[in-house]
Amino acid sequence: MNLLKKPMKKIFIFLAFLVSHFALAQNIVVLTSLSADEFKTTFRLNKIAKKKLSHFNDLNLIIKNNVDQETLYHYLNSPLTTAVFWISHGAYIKEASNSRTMGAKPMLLDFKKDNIAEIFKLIHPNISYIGVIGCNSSQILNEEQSLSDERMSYLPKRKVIATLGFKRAIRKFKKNYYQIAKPPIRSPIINEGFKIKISRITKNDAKSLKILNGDKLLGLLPKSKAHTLQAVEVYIKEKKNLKIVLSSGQSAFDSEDNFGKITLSHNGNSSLWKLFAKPNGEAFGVNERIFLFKGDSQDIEQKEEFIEFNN
Amino acid sequence: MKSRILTFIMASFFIVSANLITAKKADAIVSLIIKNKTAATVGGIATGTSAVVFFGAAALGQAGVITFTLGSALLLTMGTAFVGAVGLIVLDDKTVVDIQYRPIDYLNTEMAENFSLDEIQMYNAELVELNAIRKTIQAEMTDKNTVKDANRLWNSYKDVLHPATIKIAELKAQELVSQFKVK
Repeated sequence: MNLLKKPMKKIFIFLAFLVSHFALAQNIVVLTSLSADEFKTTFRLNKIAKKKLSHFNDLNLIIKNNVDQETLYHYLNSPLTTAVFWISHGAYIKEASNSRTMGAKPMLLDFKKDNIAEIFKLIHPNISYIGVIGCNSSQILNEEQSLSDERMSYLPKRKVIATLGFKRAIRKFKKNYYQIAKPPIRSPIINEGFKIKISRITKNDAKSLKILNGDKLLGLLPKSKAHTLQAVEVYIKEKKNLKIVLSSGQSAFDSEDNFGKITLSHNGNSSLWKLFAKPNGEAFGVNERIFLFKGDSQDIEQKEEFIEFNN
Repeated sequence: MKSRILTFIMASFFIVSANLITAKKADAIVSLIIKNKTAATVGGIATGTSAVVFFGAAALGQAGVITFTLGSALLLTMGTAFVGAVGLIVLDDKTVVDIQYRPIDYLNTEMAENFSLDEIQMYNAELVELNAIRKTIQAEMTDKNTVKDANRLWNSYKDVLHPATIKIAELKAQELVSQFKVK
């Protein structure tokens, strides 16, 4: 019996070590979002990632293709992510003067040509490196004021070829990562804010919606199935701007309704926000819903603690 | 001969651009546009999904529809006097880029001459709503509509905005339209 126990004990210790290693190891996440007819490029990008990023002893490599905003949001807010490489198209019009009051809206596009740029407004502090390989991603994301100076990034300022841009981003990552990487935060990051509950029910299966307040991304309403009530809670830190915008990121020509019936409430009171709409009730805007705060400041009660970033 | 060619070009632009402004599937419209694009070229370089835009020479259609090409991209805008660029840019990979009102920098001395700080603050605060109205008008335009219809829609919707926002938006729209020169 004793002869059997020793090997079992060793196996158990080894398995425990493996589990703990992978549980605590940080992830390098490669996300591609190119159209279906660019499958060859996607294949090459996957090959480059496996060749150049899979040899780190202390980092796991995750590769996902055909990534939408919901998956991007998940990895940008995961405590296990230490580096993100995003590869997609960008749409940016350089103008003679950026001081014009009217101009083209820059976009970072997923494989369905939905604009996902605003997802980069909310990033977990454990992420030390972000590479956004898309044409003019620097101008696109700077316009969104998305990325802070606290982490290293690779953001091309001009047109870029996907495979070359990806290799450059990897070189920069490899050269600098161990100097810039911080020990990951292992406890949840708590903050205070005013809770808003947002619920949605749609007639059809619906896309995820970004929840925006001014220049901040509060959260994401995930994809939903038809006739299924879903709800999320978000928190606004200051009362001075209580306008909420829900946006799918769809192109102006994609008229599929992904909104259905949306309700906003605070402490059970669902009359505080009103949809920005025409007199007949039809929402203004295309592929977005704007909710204006119509209550009194005193209707928004005390702040409460919430987990801003999970551990 | 030259005037006939110009008339033909302008007529083509009008048909093409009017089709673009309706909320139809992008592919069919874009292929029509790309097929019909001609060389009312703006003085700049357009490569792929980036384009340098100088709001310079353009063909002004009879219905006030302004179109010009940016190399391989195509800018189509209904140059109304009030709602301004009800327009879209179609890039060579068929991506559709929206035109929008942007926030005004309080330190912009040119704006400070025409508007008070309160007016600028109100405009910036209602920017989301202003662009939502603009996009709604754009989506509601059909191939049978004209500038007059776009203005009528603007007049029927704009009262939900603060007078300061309306004032600034209309002035900026007129400035944008006035930048286009007739070829």
